[in-house]
Amino acid sequence: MTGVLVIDDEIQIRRLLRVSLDKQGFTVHEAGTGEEGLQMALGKKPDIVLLDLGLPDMEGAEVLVKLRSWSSVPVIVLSVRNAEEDIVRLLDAGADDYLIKPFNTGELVARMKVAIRHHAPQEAQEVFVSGRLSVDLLNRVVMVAGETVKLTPTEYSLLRLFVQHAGRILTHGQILREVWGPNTDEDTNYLRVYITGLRKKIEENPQMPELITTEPGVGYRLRMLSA
Amino acid sequence: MSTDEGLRPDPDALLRAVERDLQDKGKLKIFFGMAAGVGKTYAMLTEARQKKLEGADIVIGYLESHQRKETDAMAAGIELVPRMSLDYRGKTLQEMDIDAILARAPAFVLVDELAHSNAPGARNRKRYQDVLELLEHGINVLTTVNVQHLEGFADTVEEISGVTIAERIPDSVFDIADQIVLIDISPQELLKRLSEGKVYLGDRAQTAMENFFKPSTLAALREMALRHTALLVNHQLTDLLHESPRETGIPGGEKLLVAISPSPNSTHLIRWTRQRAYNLKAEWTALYVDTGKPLSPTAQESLRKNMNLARQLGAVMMTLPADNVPLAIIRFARANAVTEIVVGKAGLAARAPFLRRRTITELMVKMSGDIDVVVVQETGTTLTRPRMRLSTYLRPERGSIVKMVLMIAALTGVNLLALPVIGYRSASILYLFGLIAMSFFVSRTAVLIGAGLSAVLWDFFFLPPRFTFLITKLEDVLMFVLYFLTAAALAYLMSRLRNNQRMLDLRARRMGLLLDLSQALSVQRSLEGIVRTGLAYVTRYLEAEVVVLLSDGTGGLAPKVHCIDDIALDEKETAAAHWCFDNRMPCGLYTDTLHMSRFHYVPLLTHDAAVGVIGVRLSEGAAWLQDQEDSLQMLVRTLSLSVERELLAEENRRNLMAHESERLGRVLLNTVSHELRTPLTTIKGSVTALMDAATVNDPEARSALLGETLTAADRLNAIVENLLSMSRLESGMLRLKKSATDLFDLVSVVADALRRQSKDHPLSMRIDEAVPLVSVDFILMVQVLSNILLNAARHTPAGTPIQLSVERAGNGITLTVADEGPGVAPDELPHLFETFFRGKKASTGGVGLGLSICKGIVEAHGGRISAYINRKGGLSISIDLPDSVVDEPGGAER
Repeated sequence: MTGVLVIDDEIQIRRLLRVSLDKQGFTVHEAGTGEEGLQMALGKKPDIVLLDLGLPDMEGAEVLVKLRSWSSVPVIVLSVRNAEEDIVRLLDAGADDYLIKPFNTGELVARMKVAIRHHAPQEAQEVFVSGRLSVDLLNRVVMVAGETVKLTPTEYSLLRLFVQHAGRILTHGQILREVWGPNTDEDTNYLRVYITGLRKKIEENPQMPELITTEPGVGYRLRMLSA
Repeated sequence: MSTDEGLRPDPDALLRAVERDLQDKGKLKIFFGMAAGVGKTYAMLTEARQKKLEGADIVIGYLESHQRKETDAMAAGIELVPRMSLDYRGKTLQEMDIDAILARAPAFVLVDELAHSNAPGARNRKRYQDVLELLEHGINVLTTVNVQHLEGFADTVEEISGVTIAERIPDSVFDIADQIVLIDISPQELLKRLSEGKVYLGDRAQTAMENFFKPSTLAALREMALRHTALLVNHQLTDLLHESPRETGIPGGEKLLVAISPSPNSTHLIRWTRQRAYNLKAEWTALYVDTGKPLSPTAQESLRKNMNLARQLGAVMMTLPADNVPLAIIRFARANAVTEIVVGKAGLAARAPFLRRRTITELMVKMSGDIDVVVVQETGTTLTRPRMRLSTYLRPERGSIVKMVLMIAALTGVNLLALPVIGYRSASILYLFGLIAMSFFVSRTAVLIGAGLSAVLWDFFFLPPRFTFLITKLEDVLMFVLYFLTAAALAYLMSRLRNNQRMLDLRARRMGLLLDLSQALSVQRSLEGIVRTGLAYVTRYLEAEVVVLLSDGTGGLAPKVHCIDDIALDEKETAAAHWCFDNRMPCGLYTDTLHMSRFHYVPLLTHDAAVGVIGVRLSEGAAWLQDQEDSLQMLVRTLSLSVERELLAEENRRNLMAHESERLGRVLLNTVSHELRTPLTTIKGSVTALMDAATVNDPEARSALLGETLTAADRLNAIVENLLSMSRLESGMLRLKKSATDLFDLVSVVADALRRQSKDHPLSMRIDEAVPLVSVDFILMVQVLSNILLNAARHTPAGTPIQLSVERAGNGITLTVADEGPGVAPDELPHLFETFFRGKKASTGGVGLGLSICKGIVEAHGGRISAYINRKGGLSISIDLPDSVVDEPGGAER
């Protein structure tokens, strides 16, 4: 049984999550405050944490930092719109993903699964496939609709990062640091240029990308589509 | 009126009494006596000790003990506010420190010798002005004064005692006193105290002061003091009666008018009238008739003093430009329902047309009809009319006279040459012609002299027998007389004409100036602009340095000095400006308050507040004339009106905004409650249906109900998002977080959102490849485009194609969302972006916020949003982003 800890002060939301996640085979633990949440994280050792940003006793970021000081449990942040800056801060501080309230339960479960899987020890995956795209990380071969596509080294590093974090959100800062090194002083415009280039090579319609999607104000995500 | 009503207190009087109490002004108590030594200071100190015993916060502001032990003993134990020292011509003078007292803010302050004149450099010329200021700040004042210091008595006292009374205070100070205590002892007792050395007479005028202390003088002074007190008591009694049931008759409604001139004797007239007005409880006006005759600087100064005195004593001061003095006074009196006109006995001599000189007084008595004319003996009759020596009088006209004499001499020459041809009679016509011609250029006196001179010359050189002054023929006598009369009348008429012309010019100049100023001000729409315009006009008209300081809106003056050239105000000037603003009175140069200042300060007053201060300073050595004072007042009035207009307009705008936001609030409540309820009803209905056993087993119904629930939830969410955005926009909390944005990216996000929310509207996109990166707030622009797209989807039938295009337009960028739906009525187009506007055809929900939010966001980016009916009959909404949002090519490197 997968244990999930819900830290949210709204009892109605906790109740909703308990019912829907229970059906999906999760064991749900509930906490109404940050303090309580941290204690339960210690005691119940959940496999994933759902953290609401508007807690009464402490900032979401504070809860995350304290949690991260002794645990690497995946954390999904629940937030309202217009808090994109907070979200980016939390993602950069080690949160795995986020969802904007009101959210769709199906979407939540999918994100949770991605986060848990990513957290589990990685089995060497030989070929990643999403829709028309397939990436052979071992042989550095990228194919779109069965045809090999030539990528520049930077584009390839970028795509590899997305594949390694398939289905997860990557903030601008995370991508820049991973691809260009921790001391990069490039900004998001630079990144944007490469994303546009990459999209032109792998998307069917670069104007309406389906693989690499933009999350306004936060970052990018490589979606996992059925083949 | 019934008897009942008759006994009721006069409501106005009651109101006035209440107002008097409500004003947090200090109360003034005067210890009043006939002369020094009667024990005023002692009585004041006794009262102070009593008050202190009662626990009152009482301090000594100024006390002159003259080293008398009794007085010192009495003052011991009462807090003393240290005096301030002023350096004046090497001497150190001590004065009451008014600012220290204001800072100390006691409940009561003792101020000895109210009539004292302050040393130069003190804020006010007179101590009573200090006291008025203390009262204004809510501090109660106890003070002492002798009867001879009252303006209304000073002249009489001088006459009785022969002592010049320099330190005078206006009688009106007594009007504002709440209590007057007469300290009275018999002259014999006072003389006894004097002989015992208990009376201090001052150092300087020992012998002069001794004149005071004669039994006869003291008796007279005592009578004055007693009578004045009795009068005051009488007035207070009347006031009390008015507040309690009214028993006295209706007030007479007397209105007094005093005609003043630049003569120093007018001061007596003014004082006399003030006294009479006070006795009658009448209003009074002082009138100066400006005949346009140029005044010498001394006369101007004297006139200004007279006018100030009248104002100080409570008169309404009026200046009337007119040629005929008595007529102007009478007309003014009739127009203003004056009951009594006060004129001086000597009066100013009116220059009667011909031989006889009648005084203004005589003329007025003749014309006055039912208005009483009171003729008052002017004191110091030797000074009544300062007779100018002929030479002094003629000096300014010397040029005119010389010209005239030269002209007559030339004409005489011409006449002598032409005599054989034209005859002696025609010679007179030539003289007359010369006079007429000259009268356009020279003064009246010169024309009169010319008339006389030419008459004599004509007689001597031309009238037979020639070269004598004899005239033999009767017709020649007649001719001579007629000639002289014609010439004289001509001179008189011409000068009158020119005088009138001059006055008309002055008036026209003033009117023109006012008109110009009002016009210039009327186009100004900001306080700043109004002040700039005002400054320019005042500077130009008065040829002076001008500064303006404006209110900071919280009851103080803003530190910014508005001026044309760079004028810095030092601390002293700023203090004067603040005083003027706080007390709403002119001060500084040319006044009695802070007269050492460099500028003359006048407050800009609106009907209920001071909005600023204007400071004026003439160039070095120039005299401040009545005309300038009048002009400044006129300009300041106009300026104040404009400032007030602007303030009112601002307030209006604020009210309008408040009104509008109130309306929006109401609409918001109505619409929102409806809009929120609809999806909530759907959700509740669907969910309850789902709980029903019948639906549980019907997969089709379940799926439909769940779909409805989801749609309703999405709609609720959209409403909440829009409301939040709206409140951010309205409150100005919306801050753009601009970043370089690829419009492709932007559009893809928007398209994704539309696909998820509305599957049945095919979306096509046309994006100009050349579109550069733009610097916009990504999230807000997503909201703009989503709102427009969803709006298009919501208001068109399913299956209606929607097109989104992005193109380079000039230097900017245009984004257009076009649908092929039914469009909107043309008259609705302009209102589409108004808050809470919903089209008539709008079928499905919507709060009417979406498009107005779009407008707000686009405008925050400096862009423009517009709607029009496109060629396919559908609605197009265009967003024009200016070139400023376009990121520089290569902006990535930044």
